[in-house]
Amino acid sequence: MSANFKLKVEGTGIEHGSGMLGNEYSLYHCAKSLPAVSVDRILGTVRDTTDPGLLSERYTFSANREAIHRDLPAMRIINEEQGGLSLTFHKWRGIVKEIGEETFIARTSELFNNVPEEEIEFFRADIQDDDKELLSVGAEFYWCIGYIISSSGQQRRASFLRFRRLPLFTNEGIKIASEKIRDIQENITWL
Amino acid sequence: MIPQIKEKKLQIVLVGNFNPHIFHPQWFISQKLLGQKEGESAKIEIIHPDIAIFSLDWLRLEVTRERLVAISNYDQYNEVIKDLIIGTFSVLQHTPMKMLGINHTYISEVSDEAIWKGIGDKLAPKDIWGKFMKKPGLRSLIVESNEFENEIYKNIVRVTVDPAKGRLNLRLNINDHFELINIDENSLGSNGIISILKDEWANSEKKALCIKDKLFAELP
Repeated sequence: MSANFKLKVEGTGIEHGSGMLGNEYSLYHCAKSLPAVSVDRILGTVRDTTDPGLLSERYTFSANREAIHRDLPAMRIINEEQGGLSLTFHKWRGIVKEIGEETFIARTSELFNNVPEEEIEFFRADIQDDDKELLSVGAEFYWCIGYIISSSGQQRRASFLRFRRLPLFTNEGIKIASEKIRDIQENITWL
Repeated sequence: MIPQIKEKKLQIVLVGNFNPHIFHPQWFISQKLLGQKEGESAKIEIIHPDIAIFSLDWLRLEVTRERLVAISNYDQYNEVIKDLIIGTFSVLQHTPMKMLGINHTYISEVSDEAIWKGIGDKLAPKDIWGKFMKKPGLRSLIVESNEFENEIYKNIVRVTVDPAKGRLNLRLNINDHFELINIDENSLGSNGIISILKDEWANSEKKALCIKDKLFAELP
């Protein structure tokens, strides 16, 4: 039976789609301005799981036609596949520039490759719960795109976003840095 | 034919004097080095004055009095593990440490047995061994290079090629080893090794990729 259903996704607003009740579907979503990602992967588009996709999460569609979000953000897919493996083919470091209600904008630069920086908008819903408190202007994070290979050998593309947990500056660290700066200042030979 | 990489692993190894008892997930939570939920999900194998082992989905941490090993099979967590180590020893900065190993492991599958044998012949030609052994075959190969030495530390790269678990699976391990030199044991803390980790991290990844690509390009 084909039917319209309401897809309710926690933290990302309500989206609409259609499908067969009782079957499993995938919700594709990604950063809005992610390069090389086609439009059919915009948040809320619902497709059959056999479609190739960059990011997919499993949702169960209940009898009342509401999708039950299992509170597993995209990056947590990895955690569901214990015993599986991953291969990353792109890694970026991002610095948060602006924070909106549902999204945030970051300046990203690719790790290990000298390519120009880009500004990319990410969904706040893609931040895992533990990292939500780390979202602030200037906060740094890692963003990776790669493959998840399940223990059965199946391969699919996936994305990963993780905020950096950098230690706070210690008094001793500040003192050492200050000494270094003073040393540099004192040894500058002006032209 | 270049073997297809099917698995990448990373290990960070520190050699020094550790207090394993500290390395409890709750300590990492209290220092904000791990999130609350994540830390609470840790599987603790043992926390003891002589040894501590716990694992998360993306990390296995093993600490003895002489050695700390952080292991991940998930390539996307490599930088996270590096940050965890840097964060840990920014707090425990008086922990004496003298050596650092960044181990990059690639597991690849070779398509057929003829290529498999060809790789062994290319890396260790059998013309010498065949003179006094009936069926010589390469079991494991380790090649070491003293890459550089400055006033503070030296760098040795060890490349190991051997079979991995499973049929026709080849393991390439690149051990990027750093060792402090002329150290005063009494004033030794973690700063020296942690600075090397920060400075050499990106280069180590590039070095490993370069060795892997160039070595694989030479294979049949």
